[in-house]
Amino acid sequence: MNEENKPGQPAPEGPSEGKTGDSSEAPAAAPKPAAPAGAGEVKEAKPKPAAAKKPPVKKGPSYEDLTDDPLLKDLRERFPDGILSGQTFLGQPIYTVSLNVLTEVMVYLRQSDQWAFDYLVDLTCLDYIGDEKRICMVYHLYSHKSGRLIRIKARAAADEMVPSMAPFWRTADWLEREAYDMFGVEFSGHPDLRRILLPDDWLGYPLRKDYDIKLQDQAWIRNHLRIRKVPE
Amino acid sequence: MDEPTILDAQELEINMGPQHPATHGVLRIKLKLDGERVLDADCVIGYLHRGVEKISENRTYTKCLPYYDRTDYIAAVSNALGYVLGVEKMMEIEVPERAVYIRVMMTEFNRIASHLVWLGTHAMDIGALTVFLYGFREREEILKLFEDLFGARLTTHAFRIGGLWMDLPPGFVEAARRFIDDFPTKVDEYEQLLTNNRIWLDRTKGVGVISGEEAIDFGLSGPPLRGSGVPYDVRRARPYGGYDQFDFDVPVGEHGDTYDRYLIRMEEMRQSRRIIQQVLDRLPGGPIRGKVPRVIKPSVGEYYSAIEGPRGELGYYIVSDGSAVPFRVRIRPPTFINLQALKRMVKGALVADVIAIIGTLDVVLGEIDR
Repeated sequence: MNEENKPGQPAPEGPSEGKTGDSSEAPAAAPKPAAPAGAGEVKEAKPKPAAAKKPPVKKGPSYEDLTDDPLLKDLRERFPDGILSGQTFLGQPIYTVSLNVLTEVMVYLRQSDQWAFDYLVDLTCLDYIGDEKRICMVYHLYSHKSGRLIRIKARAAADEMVPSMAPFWRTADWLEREAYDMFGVEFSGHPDLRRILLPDDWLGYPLRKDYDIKLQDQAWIRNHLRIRKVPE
Repeated sequence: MDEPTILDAQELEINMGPQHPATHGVLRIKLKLDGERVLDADCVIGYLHRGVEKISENRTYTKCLPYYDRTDYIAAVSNALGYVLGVEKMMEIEVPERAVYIRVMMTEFNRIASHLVWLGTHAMDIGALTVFLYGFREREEILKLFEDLFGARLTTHAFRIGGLWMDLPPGFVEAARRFIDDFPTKVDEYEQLLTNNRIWLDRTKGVGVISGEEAIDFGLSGPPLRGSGVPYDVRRARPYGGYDQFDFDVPVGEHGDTYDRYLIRMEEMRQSRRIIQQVLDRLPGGPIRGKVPRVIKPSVGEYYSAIEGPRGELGYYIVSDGSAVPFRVRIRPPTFINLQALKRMVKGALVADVIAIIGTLDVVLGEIDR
């Protein structure tokens, strides 16, 4: 099942996904692009040859479909259209859900007595630049009752609103502020969405792939730090 | 009382920090006060933000490592462990037994050292200066051990992917043994100064109370969670790095107050010592590094690797796109999440308690801001 899994399944969420399309023109880009837009592509050019070489060598762990997973079965029954895939990587289960049922799924996982995922371990984002739905929300949930750790993923477009988890887990408050700060994800229903690590009036979202590591908000630095000429 | 005058300025907003000795770094808290009572608190963080996660995306897997030392600089040794374990898992690298044991030992030494910094500064904030001097006396010995093995005291760059950089230097085991033989009496000494001290009890009992349910809701981890009676320790819940081979207890509190968290950390130091004792008794020989490919290139995939750091669950969510640089490394910072509960814990407390509560959360701003 791996063979058909590799090209097909990572499509909704595999990290190399989305590069397959633009990787053809990416290698031609200069190794050190001055323009921030090129920054992401240089690195992402690699997965394609790696993926092409993989089947003969068959090396390293890979994504596998979840089989006989009671949680996946239960979710599929409850949200027939919302559950896009259930996979596992190195024994860590990953459930990909569509954005419109994200809140329902998360609330169900938290409140049902059977699963009781009461602990939001972490909330973060991945940026698959070049995809239509480039933002991938990643939630790690843990149940103190069963001791299980799962990962929930949902894809969103860059300008799409993502439902906030802050009303259900207070952990999510700052974590969502950080995701907003670093990726520019807007959360609907968040009580206090503003930047947390960067200054309030900073421009740009640094952890996006098109934000070059050397890029800075020059105007901010000039105004606040009184540095006339910022080294490029 | 009836007519408001200028004397009852009901709400006063003051800044605590960012340069304040009791905030353990550059933490700024906007306190809303009514006299001595705290009505609300808003944390302003980010003064130490260096973009470690962004830097990781531009370095190879091996070159990322030293940066993680510099996030939580008080627990630099254990910081590396979570990341190293994650990459080893993705690369399917076998780590020799000896390296596993040494890693556990050094991580536990680090836990003791980190708790000693916490104890010293926390007690000093509250007004007990002596403990600070005592605690740093022992910490110095641990740092000497670090220096012997890693060549540095603070930014240790302790573990490498696949094992260790160097084997234990001559005389290390003896020195470690000497330390752990003495250590129980030292912990008793600290406890003698504080545990039944009237002032200490007054300042910590019933301060910063948080219930188990709320602690879970806030995502607390480490001693702040266990102080509220939730027995969650990653070493137990999802054993990693050989921890399943050692006996230790996970102390749990009842009241969820500052005093319980204090007792837990004191007990944790004893338990860490117990683990080190077992490591030293059973330390196997053999190589210290497994077979590691010259270029670390994990196949496409993702892994969440968490450890129980001195401050709580420290997780690394590593995503690989098949190249030699991580697609993303997300650090789940325990104190960032723990600090969030400060707002709730200080509500209704006295200004002086705010300092006790910051201390009991054991924040390290380098890690919060990353």
